[in-house]
Amino acid sequence: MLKKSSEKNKETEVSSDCSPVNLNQALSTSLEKNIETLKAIFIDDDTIATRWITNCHNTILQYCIVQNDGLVSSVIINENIIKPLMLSEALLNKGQQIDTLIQQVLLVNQVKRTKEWQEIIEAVTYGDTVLFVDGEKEALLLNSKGFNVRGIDEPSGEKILSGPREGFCEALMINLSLVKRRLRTNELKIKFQSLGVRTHTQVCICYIDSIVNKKVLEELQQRLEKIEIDGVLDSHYITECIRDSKWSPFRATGYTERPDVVVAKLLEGRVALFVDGSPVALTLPYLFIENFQSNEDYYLSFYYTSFERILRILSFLLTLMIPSIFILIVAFHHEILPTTLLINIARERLGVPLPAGLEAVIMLILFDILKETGIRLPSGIGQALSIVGALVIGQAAVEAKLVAAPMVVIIATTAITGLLVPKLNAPIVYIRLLLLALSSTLGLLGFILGLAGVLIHILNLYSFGIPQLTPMEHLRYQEVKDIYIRGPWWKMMNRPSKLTKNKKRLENADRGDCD
Amino acid sequence: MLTGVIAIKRLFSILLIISLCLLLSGCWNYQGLNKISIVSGVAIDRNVDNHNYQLTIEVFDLSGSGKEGGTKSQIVEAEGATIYDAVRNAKKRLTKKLYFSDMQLVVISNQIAREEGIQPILDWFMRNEKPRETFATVISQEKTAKEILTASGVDHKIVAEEIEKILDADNRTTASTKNIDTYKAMNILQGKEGNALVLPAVHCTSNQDKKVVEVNGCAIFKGDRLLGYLSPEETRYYLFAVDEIEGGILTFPFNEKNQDTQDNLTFEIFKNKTKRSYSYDGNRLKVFFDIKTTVALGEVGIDIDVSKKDNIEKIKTVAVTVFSDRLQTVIKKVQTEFGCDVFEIGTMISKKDPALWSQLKENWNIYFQGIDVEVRPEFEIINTALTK
Repeated sequence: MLKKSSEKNKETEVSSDCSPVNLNQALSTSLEKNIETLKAIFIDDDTIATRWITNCHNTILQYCIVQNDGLVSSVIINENIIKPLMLSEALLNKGQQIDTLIQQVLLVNQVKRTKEWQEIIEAVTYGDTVLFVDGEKEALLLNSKGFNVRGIDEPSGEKILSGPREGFCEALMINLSLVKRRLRTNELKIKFQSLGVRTHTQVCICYIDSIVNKKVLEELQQRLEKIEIDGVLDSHYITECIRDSKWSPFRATGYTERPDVVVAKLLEGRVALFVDGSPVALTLPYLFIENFQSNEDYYLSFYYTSFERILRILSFLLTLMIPSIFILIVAFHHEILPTTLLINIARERLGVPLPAGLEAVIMLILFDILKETGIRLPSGIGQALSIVGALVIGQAAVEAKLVAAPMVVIIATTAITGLLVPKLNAPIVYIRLLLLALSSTLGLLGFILGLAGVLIHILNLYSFGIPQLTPMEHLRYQEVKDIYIRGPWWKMMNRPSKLTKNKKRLENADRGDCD
Repeated sequence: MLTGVIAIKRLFSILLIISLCLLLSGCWNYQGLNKISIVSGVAIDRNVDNHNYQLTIEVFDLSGSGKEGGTKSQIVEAEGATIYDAVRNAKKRLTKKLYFSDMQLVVISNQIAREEGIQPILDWFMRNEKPRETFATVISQEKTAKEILTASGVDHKIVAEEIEKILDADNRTTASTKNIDTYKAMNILQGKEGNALVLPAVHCTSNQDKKVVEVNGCAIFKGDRLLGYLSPEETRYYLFAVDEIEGGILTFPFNEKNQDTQDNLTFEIFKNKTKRSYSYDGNRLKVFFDIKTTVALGEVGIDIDVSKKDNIEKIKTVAVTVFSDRLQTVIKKVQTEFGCDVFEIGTMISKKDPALWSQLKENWNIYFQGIDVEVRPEFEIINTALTK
């Protein structure tokens, strides 16, 4: 706590006037008046502290610093702001000292002059110190941020076996530093803007100037300008505001907590969006295939990861279709089954009370409840949950003849394959139930109908003007290398087309086989 | 306002498309697996007293756990004026509907096949959309067809499945019966080339004092009427003639005149190709069977050094003579006893010379009895197994 020590410094009582202060008024030359206004602005906020300072060599020179307790570093304020101001022997004239203060007195790396109250408010609430100088119509915003942030950990949501383990934290500048360290070029552009009528959250757009798709960039800026939102607490707030096809359950922006992923996406011509206070960076445009890509694909042998990627695509299809295909076979088209399988399934279904379709829906919802509980639970209870899940829903339900054993197998397969593509968990839940409902009422016909509908929907998805199914719509040799499989790096000569006009990734690509 | 109209239009067209899909699609129906009884096989007899069809339906018994001893079967009996009637009558004593899609076997009694023909019986199975048309139709050599289905199998508890599997593997290992899917049988019945239908024949035999089923040669038809049977041995030569041999063995006596001694030779058939051709001189038709068979010497019951080339040649000569003798006997038997073209000679002629066929077609069955046949077998012994 700062104490108001000097006798000369009077603490002006601010009348408890509830009417909002006019933020558009100009700063006054009178120090007292400015402080009065400031106190009026921050009325009933006891963390805002003021400190009066007088130069010991020239007592005419009066200053007042205002800062927000808890957000500032007291070392910086004591050593680099108060001490020089008090002890300065520089030639300072009341009324014309701002430049000299900045250049000769203050030992602070970032100093900004301002005449706006709005700017002062944003600076104070972000850990900066405001210096009011008696006789000046300007105030100085001094960087004195000193709040605590979480360290750089490995993100728990994106665990990998090998590769860089750094992850973003909640502080924007640290996140940018992680990116910048990996991209040491002047072509990396970083532009700030603030979003949120109340929160004034810092949002930052990153891109590489020579690679980025300018149309996407423009589109993004336009959409950001249109956002009118109270507060932005996580990057997902922005995702939903700027996406194309607003009601689609599919993602329209990529998200990651890893700086290496952001840099890789920037290098392919995408734009990254950081939000202060969120460890999740957005990348856009987002292609559908990115749902199946993982950064680890590029850190392990391409033989292995190509296989993994095919598995992920297969799992996506399986997790959507397995329950509905099973139901349509069991309830409508038994003829498809070989006799032995038919007998086995029929035997299990004997004496089970519910029809297969209803059984599948109930089991699916039960599994989703289990999954959600597992995420929300304190970690200590997790084991109890898995026992209940495995024993009660699996074994006991079958033995009690509540559900048929094949159904448990089907649901288990659906669940496991669903976990392999976490980026698609939202659409999967809905599409799966839709297909299930259709195939348990209309059989194969309904299934095909639903599948066609889903496909049409995916084909209609755009991300910032780029069709999300690109480049899967047609096969080109060069592009297949990073879609269904992951080609070796020396073969991936081009960046994904449509993302950028600057196609060549490798310098000597012209001796290769690009199309 | 305008967008509202468009939205309604769009909704309407989507509903229209969906309802069209519903109307234009084929048959489908919700049918829970716990509401059906899966039929494995059907045996058809004629009740002598009231002249009704008597159906013996074998269904899978799903009540057991299935873990020990495999799936068992149950028998449902029903009577009716037609097959369909009988099937529906069976429902009177069942809670579940009979489900025919996985049916594997139809057994027709000897008596019905001989006196009434099999076409009216198979009609329901082919006409109804449910059964797969690949099921096997066999003729019971027992008094009734029911006896076959109520006997037991050695490997499977389900007789229909047992017979189906035996038939499936038969051509490759024993070559003792004819394996034919029912839709092909129907094609022959409805065909115009004068081909005769051949169906597998099944009888009961005793194995460890248990009554078990066994395939036993084949049944020869004229039209859809049963004429008689070929024994398993004869069936093998018949299969040679129609080029359907895929395996099996051949057994010859080395010295045919000396019947008493045990001097049999056994050949294992590896590969066979039978080429049929004919010559017609304006009056007489002569049919040639060129049989090229690759065999191995599987069992030698005589004291002979098979490592010597001379001896192998000797064996070969004996084999060729005996083989052509036997095949000719079988062909002669079919010609004289049955007088129907089971060798598909009519098809061969109609393909190569339609003009000649239209001339012969009229009295083909009679003409067939007088055809000259020449058998020209050729054996290649590729090995003599391990013992020298």
